[in-house]
Amino acid sequence: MQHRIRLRAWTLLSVALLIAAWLILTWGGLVRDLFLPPPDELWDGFVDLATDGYRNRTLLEHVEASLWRIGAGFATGTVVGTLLGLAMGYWRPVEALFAPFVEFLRPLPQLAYLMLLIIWLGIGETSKIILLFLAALPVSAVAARDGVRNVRLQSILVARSLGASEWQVFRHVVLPSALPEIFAGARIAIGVVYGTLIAAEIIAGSSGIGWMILDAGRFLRSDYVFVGILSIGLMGLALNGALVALEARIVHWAGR
Amino acid sequence: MPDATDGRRLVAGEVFVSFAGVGVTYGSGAGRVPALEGISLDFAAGDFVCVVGPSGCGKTTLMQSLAGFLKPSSGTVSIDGRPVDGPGADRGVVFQQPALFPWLTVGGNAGFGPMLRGESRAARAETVEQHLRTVGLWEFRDRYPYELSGGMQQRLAIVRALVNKPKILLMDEPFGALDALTREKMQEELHTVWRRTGMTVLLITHSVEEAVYLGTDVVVMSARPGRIVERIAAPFARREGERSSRETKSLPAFVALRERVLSLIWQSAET
Amino acid sequence: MTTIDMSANRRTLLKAGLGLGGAALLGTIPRRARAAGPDKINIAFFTETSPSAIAKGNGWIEDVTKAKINWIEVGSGAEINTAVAAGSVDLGIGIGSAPTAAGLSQGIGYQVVYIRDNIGPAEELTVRTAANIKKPSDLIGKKVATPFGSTSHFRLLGFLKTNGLTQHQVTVLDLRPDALVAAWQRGDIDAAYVWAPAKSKLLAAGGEVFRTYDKLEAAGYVIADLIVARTAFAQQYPETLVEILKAENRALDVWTSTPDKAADIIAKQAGVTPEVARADLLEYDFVAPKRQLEPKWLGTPGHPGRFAEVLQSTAKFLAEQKSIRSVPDLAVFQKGINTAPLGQALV
Repeated sequence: MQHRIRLRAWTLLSVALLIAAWLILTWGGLVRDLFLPPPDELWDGFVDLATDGYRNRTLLEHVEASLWRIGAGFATGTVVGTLLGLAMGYWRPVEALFAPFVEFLRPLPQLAYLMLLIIWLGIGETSKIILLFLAALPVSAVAARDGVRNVRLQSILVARSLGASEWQVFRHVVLPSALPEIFAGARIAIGVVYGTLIAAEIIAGSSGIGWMILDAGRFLRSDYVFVGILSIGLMGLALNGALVALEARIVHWAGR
Repeated sequence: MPDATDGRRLVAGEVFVSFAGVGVTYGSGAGRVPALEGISLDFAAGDFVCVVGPSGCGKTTLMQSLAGFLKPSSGTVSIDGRPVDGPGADRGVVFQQPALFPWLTVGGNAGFGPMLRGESRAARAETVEQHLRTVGLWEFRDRYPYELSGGMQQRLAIVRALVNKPKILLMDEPFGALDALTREKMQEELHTVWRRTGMTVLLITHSVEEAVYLGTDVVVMSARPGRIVERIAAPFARREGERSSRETKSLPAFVALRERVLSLIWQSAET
Repeated sequence: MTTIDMSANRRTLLKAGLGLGGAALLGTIPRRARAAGPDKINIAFFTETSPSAIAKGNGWIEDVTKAKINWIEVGSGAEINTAVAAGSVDLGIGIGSAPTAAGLSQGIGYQVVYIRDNIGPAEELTVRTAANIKKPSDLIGKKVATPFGSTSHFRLLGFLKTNGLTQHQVTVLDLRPDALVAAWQRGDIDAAYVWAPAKSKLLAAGGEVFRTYDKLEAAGYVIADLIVARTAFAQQYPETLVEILKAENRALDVWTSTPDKAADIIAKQAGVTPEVARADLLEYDFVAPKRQLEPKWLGTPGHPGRFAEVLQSTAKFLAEQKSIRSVPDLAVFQKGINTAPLGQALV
């Protein structure tokens, strides 16, 4: 307990030092507000974005737009990816069918095929969500496949000897065994989706926190950019925290 | 085949499990490794057969061919008159590692077999409770396997197999990972269960003492390829009256049989 | 030509003789050495149909500066602003007046040294013929795309404002020119405000011009393409800057005297056919260097022209749009225009 409090103190200290450096650099006039806005400008920018908004939308509406895209892309991407990965891990022919695509897609930078998505799917929400979907899918698929591959053979043999059919082995042994890796994959996927958000919102944006950062950055409105980065960062922390909490509840046995 | 490799000697009762000229070969081409060769072994319902032998003698392969985890390259394995074709609920399996399902509670693990057959929670509750009570795990029914000690985990693995009411229990070094004291306790418990249920058991073990103590029959195997050296009837499992495990294990007859089995293993390991 | 070669030789000799290494040494070396040009110049440029492409395509900038030119292609003036703020671009060729007004308002250290063209009708609203858009109110409920932060964006918003249309009535989408063409071809958008060659592609794919520029210019929404120089660069290498502007003037001469030859070279640089290049070029009002020094445009040293006012009113509009925080005094824009190099280039 004592130890944990001390660690917490170290964290607070590092944050406090960072803030102190920020105050000295900006209010001390060492750095121009173009490069780093001082706290008062940042606060004004935040209030302005929250109440009056940016390009006809308030900060909250931009956050909502982004969360909707992340949610839709992540949910569809991880669900489809996980199902695909489970099938790939369990049935070799499925692996043979899909592995080349998954392995090819996984390291591909999303910006590389952004243009194609616009041409194929248009500039609406579909292309944005598909981009995020494609970012999440291979990560989840590989995680689920590896999860299946790492199932202990003895667990399967025991289940078979207890009378499990092939489907029951999958449902009651393989799937739960793979859950820890599926969750680990989901956490990586949310990171990748998050990183792809700005790319997705480049497509004919007029909403979304990623687009806002990008557009404000064009005019070097660093106060808006910083507010956007702080928002996106806090959103990320919250999303990851939610996933970790869910993981601890569902795969309570992992690592024991 | 010389007589020595024939373990088909059946004393009483009808043939329940039969290995007929079973051979198992791993690999192919130049890398072929014969693991079992010419295994013929019959035993009756209610027998407690212990298989001992040096490392690499194919004890586990023998068990796996009966469990249906692998298909023999030659010969047939049959149980209750029907050839073995894949794993089945009639043959319960316990490994050295308990291989419990960590996402299920103790109760959930114990009732796994009936659950697979679609029995309702209420229907399987009674059997599960009864089995868990006999091994002292009832109060842990809502805990998870990782909250149990090694011995408790192995008890649960045995219970999980027994709840499913198999015709035969196949055990591969079930107590190999336990400390000496727990091991003796578990031997005692297994013995009690066997005495009470009259279940047929095939036990693979490294411990000659365990084999002589628990088995109605001790099968000694030789290494590479695994052959049956000798099948010896052991009288101690069906003993009458109350005698503690320590007392039994220090009987001159027990010591003599143990030494005989040990020397057979030594001989087979040297040749 | 001979003079250029001689001066170049002299520079090379000086460099060798003095062992001129880096810019840091400049303060300590004799006055004459200041005439020495830089080893490397970072120039930001657009792929567009303009005479600047002749100077680039013929390698004239390399020839007159005797420096290694690092050509950096950009997609927007905003990128030039960012790069100059970071010190990684010395010269921005073809930057629009809207991003320049934003940059000067934010104190980015550069100066306008040249007006290449008054954009006029070259950037214009293009509408899909099938959408039957004849008057401004026909745009209600339609999607209009433009690259945000550009002169076209500025014009489009001005057009909506002067016609009493809000962005709730007309959806304004942010698309880069290449993405814009793709969206148009798919039928995702009904109108676009953009420049060539994207504009030509829209016209070729079922589009027609919806004329806005004349009324907008009358209402003060003048847009122009400029050349900006990083202030520190302009002070350190005034002669180099003069030579570059001379090359730019020569390129313009090629276009005015031999349009066909110019169109061929420019077409190759912009990736369009000579016919398209020629048609695009005809829409620009290239401001002759002498005209640039008139009071209507940049003015002369000590006598700032009215273009500073154009920049300031552009900045005011951008501030209303929240693209920039505040608008500085006119003097800031006047100081942000440096006509000395162009004056020397014309001597």
